[in-house]
Amino acid sequence: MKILIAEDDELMLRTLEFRLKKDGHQLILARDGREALERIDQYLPELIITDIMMPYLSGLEVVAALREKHQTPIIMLSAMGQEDIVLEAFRLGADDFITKPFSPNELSVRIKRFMLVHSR
Amino acid sequence: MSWQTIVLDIFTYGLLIYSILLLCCYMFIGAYSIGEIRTYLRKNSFTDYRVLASSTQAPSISILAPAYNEGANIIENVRSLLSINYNNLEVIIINDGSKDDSLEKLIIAYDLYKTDFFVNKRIPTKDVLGVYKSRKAVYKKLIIVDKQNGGKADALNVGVNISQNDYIVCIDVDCILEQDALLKLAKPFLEDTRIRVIATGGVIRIANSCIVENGRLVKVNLPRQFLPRVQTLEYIRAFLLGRMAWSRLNGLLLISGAFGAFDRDIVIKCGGYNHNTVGEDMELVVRMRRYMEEQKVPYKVSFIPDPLCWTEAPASFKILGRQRNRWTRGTIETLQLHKVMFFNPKYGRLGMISYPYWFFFEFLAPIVEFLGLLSFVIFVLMGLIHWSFFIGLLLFIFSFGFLYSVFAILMEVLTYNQYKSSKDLLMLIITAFLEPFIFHPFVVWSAIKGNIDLLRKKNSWGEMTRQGFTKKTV
Amino acid sequence: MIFFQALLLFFFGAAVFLIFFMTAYLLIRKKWRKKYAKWDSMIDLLLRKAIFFHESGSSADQPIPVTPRLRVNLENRRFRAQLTKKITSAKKNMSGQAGQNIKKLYLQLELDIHAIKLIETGKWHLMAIGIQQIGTMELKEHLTRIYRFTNNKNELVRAEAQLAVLNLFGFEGLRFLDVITYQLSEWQQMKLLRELSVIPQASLTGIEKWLKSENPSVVVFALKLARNYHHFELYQEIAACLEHPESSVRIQAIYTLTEIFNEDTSKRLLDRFPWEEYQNQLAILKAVKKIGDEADLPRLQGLLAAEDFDMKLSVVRAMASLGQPGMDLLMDGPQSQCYPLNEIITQVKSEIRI
Repeated sequence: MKILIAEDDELMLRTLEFRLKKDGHQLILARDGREALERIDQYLPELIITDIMMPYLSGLEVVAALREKHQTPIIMLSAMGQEDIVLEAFRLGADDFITKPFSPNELSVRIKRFMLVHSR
Repeated sequence: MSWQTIVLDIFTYGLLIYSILLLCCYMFIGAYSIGEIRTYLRKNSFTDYRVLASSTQAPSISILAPAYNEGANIIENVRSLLSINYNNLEVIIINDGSKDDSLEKLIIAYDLYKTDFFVNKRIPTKDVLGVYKSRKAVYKKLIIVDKQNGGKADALNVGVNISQNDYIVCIDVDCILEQDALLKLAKPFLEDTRIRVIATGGVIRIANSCIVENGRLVKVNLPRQFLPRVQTLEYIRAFLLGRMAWSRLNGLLLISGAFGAFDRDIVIKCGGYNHNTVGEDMELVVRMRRYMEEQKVPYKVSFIPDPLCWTEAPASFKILGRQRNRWTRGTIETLQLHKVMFFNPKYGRLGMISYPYWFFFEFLAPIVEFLGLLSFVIFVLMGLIHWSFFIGLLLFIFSFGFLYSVFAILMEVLTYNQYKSSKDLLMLIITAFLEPFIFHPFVVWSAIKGNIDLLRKKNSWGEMTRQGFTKKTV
Repeated sequence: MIFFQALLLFFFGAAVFLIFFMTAYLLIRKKWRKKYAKWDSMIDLLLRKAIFFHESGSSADQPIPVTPRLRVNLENRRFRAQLTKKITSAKKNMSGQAGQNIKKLYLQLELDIHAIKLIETGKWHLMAIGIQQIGTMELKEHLTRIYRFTNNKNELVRAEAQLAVLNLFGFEGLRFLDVITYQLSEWQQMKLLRELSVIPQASLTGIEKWLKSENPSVVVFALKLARNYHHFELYQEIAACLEHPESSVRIQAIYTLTEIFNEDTSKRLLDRFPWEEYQNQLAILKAVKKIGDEADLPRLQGLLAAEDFDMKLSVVRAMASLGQPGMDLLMDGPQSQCYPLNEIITQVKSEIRI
């Protein structure tokens, strides 16, 4: 599956890339909200994983902007576990929300499940 | 000993003593400031501002941005303000009776409608013609107020009346904000446990020749023209080597009108901005401090050494002259309005340290310099001059000034380091060298004109024409 | 005039010296930047190896492989600092097996010893770094060492110690609230609540004690905890805080009561109204707007006569929120057709429509 990851922490980005590449996915990377929107339009990924706190455009703004044009499933990652953030993310159109600290293995499993649910 | 020599001696030694006092003040303030910045940077490395950005308990803030004939840029500027990452926020744009079509443009761009809004005129202002909000949910933070023309202070007062939140942030509408600017400005209000923070300011940087995209600063460049560049140096000196020390002494008198946060409650209790002075930003801070001193309530005016906001500096002598003239008149008017505090122990540090310092070393400095020059010319004509003394004094002050500027540049490199290339730093050093010859005399002359104009009671803001930033087309 | 010449030479000399110093500093920094970049990739690689360690088939007891090059670099203070920073940042982001592996790496490289050394320096900014590490890396064995810092005179050390203790022991760690004498700033309270929000919820005991604390900021914090974690059983104690001498406590009690309330609460708040100061009165009206009922309308109507316009606005909002009877009462009131009430009512009506 073609997946786009938007994350400003370089180590996190590389870790996720490594894990998901091992699972056999094709990856597109973005380091801030602006890059994310550009790359989404350019590469049309099948799944988007984005952090909330990023330079230029926050993850929430990315979701809002995205939902105006695409219906791609979005998983949000965040260190903010507060109820209103989670609710806002879902209200804007995110499909899943994972709080940090999280386990890369868990993410991998969730994605596998996503593929099952959204295939065909 | 003729009377002429006596006069000459008094004059000479007076000048010398004044200069030495001034230099000592600068050195002390400079050293104290640097120490405080180091402490701040150490503490700051532990701060995660994101906690504040999303917390529901973050203080509620209203951004107030007066706009007058901003023309085409207004849409971009408003969008830039709306993209600020902060939860509990109102963005209030006050259209101060613009003669162009700014309001119509805004109504179309943001899908605005006129609301039934009850304006509580806590501070008397010119009439409000309408309060507009947007129909689109994504712009729910935006409020646009249309009013009769009344000047910047009046417009800000209208904003204060309309705001529903605890803190107001007064901003020039074309100021470019750093991403975390609002968070950093809000934090001091939450940190002190025993005293009330009534206002916070940050560092203003010069945006000429910088690259701006979508209302965000993308690349920092040293201004290519001489005048903005020398002002960059001036700002570095003032902010890095000055404000932090004053803030620590709790004697800070000035928060830049381009970007500052205030406790709305106190602003209202003091009666808002004074529209009879051209230095309304400084006058408000002084009045708020005076109010708190009179109430005998412990308080603080806080300062963040981080760059928070980027603004355009005048690039021509004409506009720079008007700006400095206005600053001088503002300072004098403020000092005059509050002269009761001069060396008055009832006002604590404000009366015993801050006010006298501003009086002697900010207000009087250009006058002393000018009179010094005048007398120098007179004494030369009378043939009484001790050449070696005066040349010595001149070089002494020049070399100190140069040293001070180089020190400021070094501190800038060691702390925030906005200008990274060695070419830029070399340019700054050369600018420091040229400053006393080209820039400084002009500034002193503008200040003198300010004094004269005030004596003649001229009252105007003057027009600041905009050059625009270097914009990259998207 | 020798005096002048001497000073002049001194100043110019100093300026020239500073310029040379700056140039040297820039050159050195450029060199270091290159080094940091190289180290960065080395560290990233090591961390990735660590995070996915178990998957390569090795058992849990085997040490994570570390290159000799890295061991040598470990002696370097700056390298250690960079490495530690990255490790702690990674640990904050990852849980589960990945998190455990990072901790294993941290201990294997003996970075905990350096953290303790930092604490022992006695310098506040270094101590804070060490304490933070112990918290993030979950080094529970150092609890006693850190616990006493929760009431340290330096604000940053205190703050980091409190956060670390929460990190190590979750809700249990809040015990320090029993004993601290320094006030908790609003900022610190925000950080503590944020920290708690990512810890799995456990039963929170001891709030009753904190609600009666001598330290007003502790009472305020306890009220926030009661509100966030829905401790309805503490209603009486919370309501008792309405009479606390500190106004900051009283206003927090009012906020809390908007979440933890029963049918009497709005009446009780309105009883308090005449005794309260202005800001708290506005807060009470906001609360009544949320939790009030029709029985409160007569009293609210009485408050319409207030001089202050913002107060009038709040009363109108409160009354309007109590359904049609509230609106009717507003429209039929004696002053409702004149300024300012007519404009206020119009605004509030348009707010409700939205």
